[in-house]
Amino acid sequence: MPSYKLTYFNGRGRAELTRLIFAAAGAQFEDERVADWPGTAKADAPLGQLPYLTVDGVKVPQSLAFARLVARRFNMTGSDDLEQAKTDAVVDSVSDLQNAYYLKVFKAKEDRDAVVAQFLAEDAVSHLEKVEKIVTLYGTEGYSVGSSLTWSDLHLFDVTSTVMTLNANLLDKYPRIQAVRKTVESNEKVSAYLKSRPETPF
Amino acid sequence: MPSHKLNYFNLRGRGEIIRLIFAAAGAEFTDNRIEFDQWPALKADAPLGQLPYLTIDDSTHIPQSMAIARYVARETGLAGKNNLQQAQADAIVDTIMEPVNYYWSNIFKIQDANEKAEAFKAFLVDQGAKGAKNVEKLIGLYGSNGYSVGDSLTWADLAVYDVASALLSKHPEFSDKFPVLAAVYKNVLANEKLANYVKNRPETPF
Repeated sequence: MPSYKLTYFNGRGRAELTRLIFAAAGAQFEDERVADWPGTAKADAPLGQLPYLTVDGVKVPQSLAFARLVARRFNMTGSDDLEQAKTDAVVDSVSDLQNAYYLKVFKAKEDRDAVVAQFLAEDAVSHLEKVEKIVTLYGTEGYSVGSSLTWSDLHLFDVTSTVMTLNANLLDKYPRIQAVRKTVESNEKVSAYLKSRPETPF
Repeated sequence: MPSHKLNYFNLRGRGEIIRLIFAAAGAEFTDNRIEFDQWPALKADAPLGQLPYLTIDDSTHIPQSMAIARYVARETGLAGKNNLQQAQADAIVDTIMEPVNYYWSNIFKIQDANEKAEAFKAFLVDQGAKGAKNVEKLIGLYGSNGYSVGDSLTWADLAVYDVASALLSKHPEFSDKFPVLAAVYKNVLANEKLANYVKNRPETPF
């Protein structure tokens, strides 16, 4: 069996998606959480950044690239090439929301309230509308693509969880997104993982 | 193979990587170039109201340029020989796209020509150089002999080519500063089908 080590900070951030995929697959991996950064860890990282995944000794940076690899190895990318393209399209649309959050809200300092208000009123609405549209196009009730759990469901859950900390009612207008969240939360392996994972500020 | 139609503006922009993959593979596709004045009437046809999107067998539509490119690469055998190589190609493309996306979001939209030129100059020596160095690092780890991943052409090479060709016309010194990328660029042009496509493609501002 291949060996996997995920290296990131002690946080959810850009690594949590892959942790969720491993959890849903019931698969073993080493969850390395770096406390001393840069320390020696930065030089070990292929691009001097976290996260990266080490697969049988080969290091792969870029969270979506290695998440996709893990999802594919555990059959969570969809049943054929076309479904894989659909899961990729959903993941990219969700990532548009995630990147807007990281770019604006995560980095905001003194003007945080104003930034959050603008983000919620504009970016969040624009991206969530697109995600709702695309999961309606490709999925069925409770699934973003097809009718079984794929990594795009997990990414949707992860990113909306983070953004919902800004406004708990954020998803009121997006029933299909809510339905996917419900599927993920009630998945046995995922809910066990969610209950046991460390509480972290990000 | 199913029929494919790429719907995009008559520009390189976010569509060109997809065209390059089809071209390098010698695979058929309909290159539907939409003029700006036609676009408003066609916007509702696009799944997310944006371009590009790919139409497969006249029935399924896929938005998101990277998802489309990855799908076409896989269909045409240019994604990487196994799952790990595919992940390596993905990692290289994602690393290329970091400065590219920064450019589209922050530089491209600047209206004032002088301000834009200044911002682009600063971008080249900052995010641009950093991104180029990172891509070279990964190619060093994963590739060989002018290939970004393994020892055969993948869409990662075409992504390097796409960005490099935009730069080299205005900044030829780029190939001295980044020899690993220059080697990939040269190698891509040695692909006859691709070189032919590049020679014949429409001239567009970007």
